[in-house]
Amino acid sequence: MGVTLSIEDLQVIYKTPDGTIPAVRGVSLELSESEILGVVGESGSGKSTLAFAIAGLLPKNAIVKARKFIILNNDALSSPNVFNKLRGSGVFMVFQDPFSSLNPLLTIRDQLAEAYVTKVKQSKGVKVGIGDVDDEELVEYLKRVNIPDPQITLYKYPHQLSGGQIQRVMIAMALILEPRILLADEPTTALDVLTQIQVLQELKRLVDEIKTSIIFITHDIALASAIGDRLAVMYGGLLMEVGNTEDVIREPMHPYTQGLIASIPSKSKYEGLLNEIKGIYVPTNLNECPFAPRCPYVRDDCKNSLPELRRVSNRFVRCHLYG
Amino acid sequence: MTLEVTVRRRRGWADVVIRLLKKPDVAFGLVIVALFYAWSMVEGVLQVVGALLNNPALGWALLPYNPFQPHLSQSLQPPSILHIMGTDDLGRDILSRVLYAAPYDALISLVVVGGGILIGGFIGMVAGFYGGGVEEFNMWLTDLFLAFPALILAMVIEATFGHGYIYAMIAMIVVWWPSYARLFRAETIRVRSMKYIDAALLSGLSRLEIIRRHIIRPALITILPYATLDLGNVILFYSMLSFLGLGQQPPLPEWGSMVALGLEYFPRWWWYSIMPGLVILIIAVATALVGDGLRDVIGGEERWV
Amino acid sequence: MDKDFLVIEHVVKTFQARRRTITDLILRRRVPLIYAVNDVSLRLDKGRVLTLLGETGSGKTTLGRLIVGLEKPDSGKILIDGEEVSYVGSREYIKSKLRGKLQIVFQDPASSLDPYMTVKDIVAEPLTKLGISKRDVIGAVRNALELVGLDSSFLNRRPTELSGGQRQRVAIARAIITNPELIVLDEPTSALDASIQAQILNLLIKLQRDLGLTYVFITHDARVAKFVSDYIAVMYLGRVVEYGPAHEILNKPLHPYTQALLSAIPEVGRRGLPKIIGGEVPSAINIPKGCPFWPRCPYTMDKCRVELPKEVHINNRTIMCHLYS
Repeated sequence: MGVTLSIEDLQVIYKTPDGTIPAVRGVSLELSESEILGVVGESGSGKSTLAFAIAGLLPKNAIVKARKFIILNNDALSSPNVFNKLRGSGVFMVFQDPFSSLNPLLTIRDQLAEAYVTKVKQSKGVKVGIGDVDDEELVEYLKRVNIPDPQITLYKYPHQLSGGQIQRVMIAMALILEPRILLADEPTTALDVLTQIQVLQELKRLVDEIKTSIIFITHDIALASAIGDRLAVMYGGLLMEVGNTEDVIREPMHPYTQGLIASIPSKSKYEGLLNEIKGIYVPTNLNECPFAPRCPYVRDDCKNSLPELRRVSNRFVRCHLYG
Repeated sequence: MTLEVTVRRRRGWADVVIRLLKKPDVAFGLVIVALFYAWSMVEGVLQVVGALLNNPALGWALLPYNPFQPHLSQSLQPPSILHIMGTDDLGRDILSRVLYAAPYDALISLVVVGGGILIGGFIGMVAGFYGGGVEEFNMWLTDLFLAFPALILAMVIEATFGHGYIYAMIAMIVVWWPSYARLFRAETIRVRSMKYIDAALLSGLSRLEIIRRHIIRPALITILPYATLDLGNVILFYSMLSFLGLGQQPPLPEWGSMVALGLEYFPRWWWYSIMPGLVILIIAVATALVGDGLRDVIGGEERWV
Repeated sequence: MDKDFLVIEHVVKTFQARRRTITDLILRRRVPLIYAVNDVSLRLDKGRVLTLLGETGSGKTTLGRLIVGLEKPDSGKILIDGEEVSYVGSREYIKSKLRGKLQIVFQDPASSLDPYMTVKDIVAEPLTKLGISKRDVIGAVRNALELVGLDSSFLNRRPTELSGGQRQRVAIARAIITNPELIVLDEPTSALDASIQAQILNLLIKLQRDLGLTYVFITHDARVAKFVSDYIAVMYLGRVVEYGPAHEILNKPLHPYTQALLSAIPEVGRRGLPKIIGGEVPSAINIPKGCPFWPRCPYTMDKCRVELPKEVHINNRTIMCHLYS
């Protein structure tokens, strides 16, 4: 199976007037065709920054470093134009914030048509005009993502749609583009449960039919495990545990992963309170484990040295508990 | 595409000023504006005290020359070490006249913008928060005044009620408040949809109390960049009015009227018009730079203070 | 059990789908209405948790707002402890015994706290109209913050300095400070990270027990509903389609919509996506005749398309479905 993405020791740092903020502190991973990688993390974990880095959409004050950064057999470190070339049917991203995803001055129809035109140009080298795109086809895409009254919605402007509807439009755009790599950052948060399932089914179709690789970013480990083939748990800009979904869920090794799974509500309050992960995320230095302040198994060496991401049985774990 | 990298430190006004000073053009503007208002305050106080004590000479105690005393032998001298801005047709030092007139512009800029904020703010906030018929009426009133070309309206008011400094001030406030009404209403509408307003309503607070507690502050902070820039606009506008003879009357110097008088002598004795004109220009640009800088520093970031 | 603390009787609430235009006036045309809450009746006893479970457009948020008085019903009434809930903008509200005693915790931590105010002022705001001395107010604020797990270092901080979970704690402190009769919680954890959700849910349940609070909890997540609820009312397009004790509804959902909702929840350890019902999401303006759910129901009968099902009581449950009537 072809490898679509290969990164080694990716680091992203933001330069702000208040100082430098390390968002991603050394992430390595590989992505194959037809694979869904679920990246699980909370705010501050760096998961969104990772996605923006792969999409080439980081702001100007972001500094990217990596030992290796190959996207669809292109070296992303060689020049920023690599991203421009790939964007569209190579790499596409669905953002977490629906309201800044669409151009407020264009109708939904025009923006979906633009995606269509891009797709045709990039895959067949044919130039089609935006006006020549068939509206009926676009309506079909809107139906696939459960948009109500699609014929009417097609001609609306983004400000007339709800957040959930815009999220679905973005996914429809992904379906049109059929990208080889799709980065989805919390693409279903604003959606109802039933629509969420529908959308996930469409994403799975992309994987099965077009061999798309998906990086599915979420803070909900149950959702990630339902759709992902592999799971990557991120915390403090680093990978904490990476492995096949069945393995990680059946036997979570990292205390953070264990905490995430245990804190999902599954019983009534009369059977006891939920298991919590105490505290909130606080940034730490690179000479200690980022999860140490909240870890129930913290020891002295956790505060003195950062554990490496090591191969342990059937996965990778970053924790002093495992050697 | 903006990424939110949340910085949780609290910022205060000191941080704002430091951020402003870091940009060279804004720093330049800030210095000019500060000097202008500081000088105007000092000179204004001297003029007022001098009038009260019946000793008008206090008004030019700090100036290089008496701005009213003609020296016909010195008339129309080009800029030199003795007269940095040259002299006018009556031999009066232009720099001294410019400095003497400064407080009038400073005062009117603050009064008109302040008055615009007070009146426009009240009308706009009430419109935005009460909605319905009140909003419709207020905004209709606002649009009515906005529809008139400002200069014509000001001239009409002065023609009706009299001209001179105070009348110019009043006329300008009437012309100026509608823009602020619009801005305050927009901000009020934005804040009104915030859930903490619902929480305040549940706590039993009246609508006026909610405006006072939750709307005035963010509205003022939002319009601050615009208001700063507006100070320069007022000065420009007032210069226009006095150019047309509707400002303070001679022999009181005023920048705009000096430009008008100097036109007769242009271009041979160019400094008569150009010098006061340059001063107007520099101050207007300076306020615009500061306003712009404020907007960059305050807007587009997570709110604070 | 005497279920008369919260009484909702035949409440209807509509919104205009768009603003009235001159054309409407000329053509004497009615502006289409959205029936956000369409004849809902519910009861709850004191000290219990009722969950409104539904998706976007179900009317659960509107119903929550009606309960505390942030909206005014078009018809029907809502009583709490015998007293009718009045609209916050009305004159009756000032004299009402319930003023300040009905509180709400919102979903979005960012817009529920005024970024220009300190935590202390935010939490103290509900006490403003109660004529309490300044010293007592500070005491009450400290107490409330302690109850939600925040120490006094938070008093002078601003919301922008706080994390999402901390902001929600402040919002909760603000909601409990007046010893409210009832609190509506509108998706209070939906905008929080999963690792923080458990903390806040635990906090809410602890508070409910310790202070004897009555909650109306609004959520679309059946997992959350399972944890917090005593009773669940499943809502769809402005109506309550099923209502009953929580464990009964969750173990044996009767209404087809409830069944579909519960089966669509992602479960840890269950790989793959569940099979769900299809059909188009309804437009809230063109509500289908008959049962609102029939276009998507796998068990639709002819009757469903034309006749609205009546409410039927089966044991402890209330259900609105022709399959059971």
